[in-house]
Amino acid sequence: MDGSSQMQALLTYTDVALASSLILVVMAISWRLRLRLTGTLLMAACRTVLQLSFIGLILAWVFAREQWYEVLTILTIMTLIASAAAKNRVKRAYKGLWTDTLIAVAISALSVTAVAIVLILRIDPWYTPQFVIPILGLILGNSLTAISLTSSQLVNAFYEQRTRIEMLLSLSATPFEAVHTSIRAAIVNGMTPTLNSMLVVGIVSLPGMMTGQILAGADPTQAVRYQIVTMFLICASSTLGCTISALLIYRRFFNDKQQLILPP
Amino acid sequence: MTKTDRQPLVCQSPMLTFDRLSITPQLSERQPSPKILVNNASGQLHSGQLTVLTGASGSGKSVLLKALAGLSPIHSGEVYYDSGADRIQHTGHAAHAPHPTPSPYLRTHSPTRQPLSSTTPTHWRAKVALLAQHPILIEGSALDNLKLPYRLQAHQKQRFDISWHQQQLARLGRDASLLTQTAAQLSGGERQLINTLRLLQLDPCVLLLDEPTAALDGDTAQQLIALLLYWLHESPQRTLLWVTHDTRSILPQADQHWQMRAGVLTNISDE
Repeated sequence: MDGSSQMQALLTYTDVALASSLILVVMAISWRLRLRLTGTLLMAACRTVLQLSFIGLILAWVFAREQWYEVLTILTIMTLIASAAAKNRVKRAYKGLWTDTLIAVAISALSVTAVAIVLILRIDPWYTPQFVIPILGLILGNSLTAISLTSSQLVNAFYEQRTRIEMLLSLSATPFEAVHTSIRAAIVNGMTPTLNSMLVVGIVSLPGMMTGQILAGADPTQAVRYQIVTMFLICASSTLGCTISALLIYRRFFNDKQQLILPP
Repeated sequence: MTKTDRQPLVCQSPMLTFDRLSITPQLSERQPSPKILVNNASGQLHSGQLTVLTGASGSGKSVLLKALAGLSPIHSGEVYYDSGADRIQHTGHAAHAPHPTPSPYLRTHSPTRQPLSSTTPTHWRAKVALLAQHPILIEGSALDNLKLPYRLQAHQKQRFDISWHQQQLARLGRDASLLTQTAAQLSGGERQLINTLRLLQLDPCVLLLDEPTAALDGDTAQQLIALLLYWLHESPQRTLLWVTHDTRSILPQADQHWQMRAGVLTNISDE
C-alpha cells in the first residue's frame, strides 16, 4: 500500500518474488507426496513470467502506436492467430476449414468490436490502441472457443450421423431439414460456455477483468458497467460466429444435388 | 424368370431406367483413383415387378441403390424415371394425396421421362425412395416417427392418416398399441416395421430396399416381406428393387434377378 487516497496497491518486483514463494511451497508439497508435478509446476511458473513479461513489452510498444494502419495490422494479425487456433482445435479437418473458420472469426469479432468502439464506447479516434486492442482480444478469445466447439461438433455430427441424415433425405427432406437438429446442437454447444458464464457471473465468479479494474483502483460501478458491456459483446460475437461457421460447414457437406458428401 | 404365377394388371412399362452408370468413391472426385464402385451398370425396373439384386458384400449393391435414390454422386451415366402418361389413378389408402404434376419441377422437354440430373432432388426422392438396412428412428413414440415426414416441406400438403397404419398392422397380425410405444422400447423387427411404414405412407413409386430383413428374426422377416409385396401389388404403378441374401423367401418371388460382382451388374434371369 502506498497510502494514497485511492488505496491503490502498486506491485514491485519484490512483491512478485514473494508471490512466487507460493509456487515453491506447492512444489515442495508435490515433491513430498511424489505427485510428479514439480517439473510441470516449474515450467508453468516460468512460462507465466516469461510470456506475460513479453506481452507487457509488446503492449507497451503497441500502445505507443499512433497510426491507424499500424493498429489495423495488429488487429489483423490477432484475428489470423485466433482463426488458426480455432481451426486447430477441430479434429476432423477438411479442405476449406481454414477459410471457413477465418470468415466466421473475422466477421463475428471485427463487426462486434466495430459496434463497441464506434457506437457504445465512442472512442475517438477509433484506432486508439488502449481500447481497440484489448476489446478485440477479449472478443476473439471467447469467439474462437465458441466457433471451435461448434465446428468440431458439427463436423463430427456429419460423419457420425450420416445414416440419420440420409434417412431424412430419403424421406424428401431438404438438406437443411436433414441437418437442422445437428446444426442447432452444435450452435448450442458452442454457446454453452458463454451462456454459463453469463448465468453465474457475480454469484459464483467475479470476472477477471472486473476484479482487475477494481484492484487497480477503478470505481466498482464503472467496473461493473464495463463488465456488462463486454459480456454482451462476447455473447453477440459468439452467437454470430457459431452461426456463420455452422452455415459455412453445412454448405461444404452438401453438393448442388442435395447429396451429403464428405469433403476431402 | 423364376415365377409365372402372377400376371401383372397392366402392360409392364419401365419405371426406372439406368444407363451405363459408373460410380467412383466420393473422396477421389478431384483425383480419380483406379477403384470403381459401380462399373457401367445398366438396367430397367418395370411397373408391378419385383427385381432382386444379389451379390457379395462390398460388390457395390448399396452404392448402386444410393445412387439410384439420388443420394450419392454419379460419375457417369444417367437414371430416368418414367412417370407414365397414362398413369392409372389408383384408389389406394387415404394418405395418397394427389401427386403434383411433375412438369413444374422439371427442366426437360419430355413430360414422362425425367432424368435424375435435371429433377429437383426432393421431388426425385419422393418418387424413388431408399429403405436402409438399419432403421433409424428419432426419439419419441412410434407414432412420432410415422408423423415425422409431414413436418418436412415436401410433404406439408399431405395429411397423416393413422387408420392406414392401423390397417397395415392389423393385416400383419400386429397390435396397434405398437404405435404408442417409444422408439427405445421397440424390438429390432418392430423398428424396421415402423421405418418401412414411415416410407410407404408417402407413396413412392420406386422402392429401393437395402437388405431390410437381414437383421430380423424369421417371423418378423416374413411379415415385412408380406407387407412389401402387398404394397407392390396394391397399385400397378409401383416397382421394387430388393437387395437381399435371402434366396428362400424373396428370390422365388422375383420377376427379375440381377447379380452384382465387383461393381459389374448382370441380369441373370435371362440366362
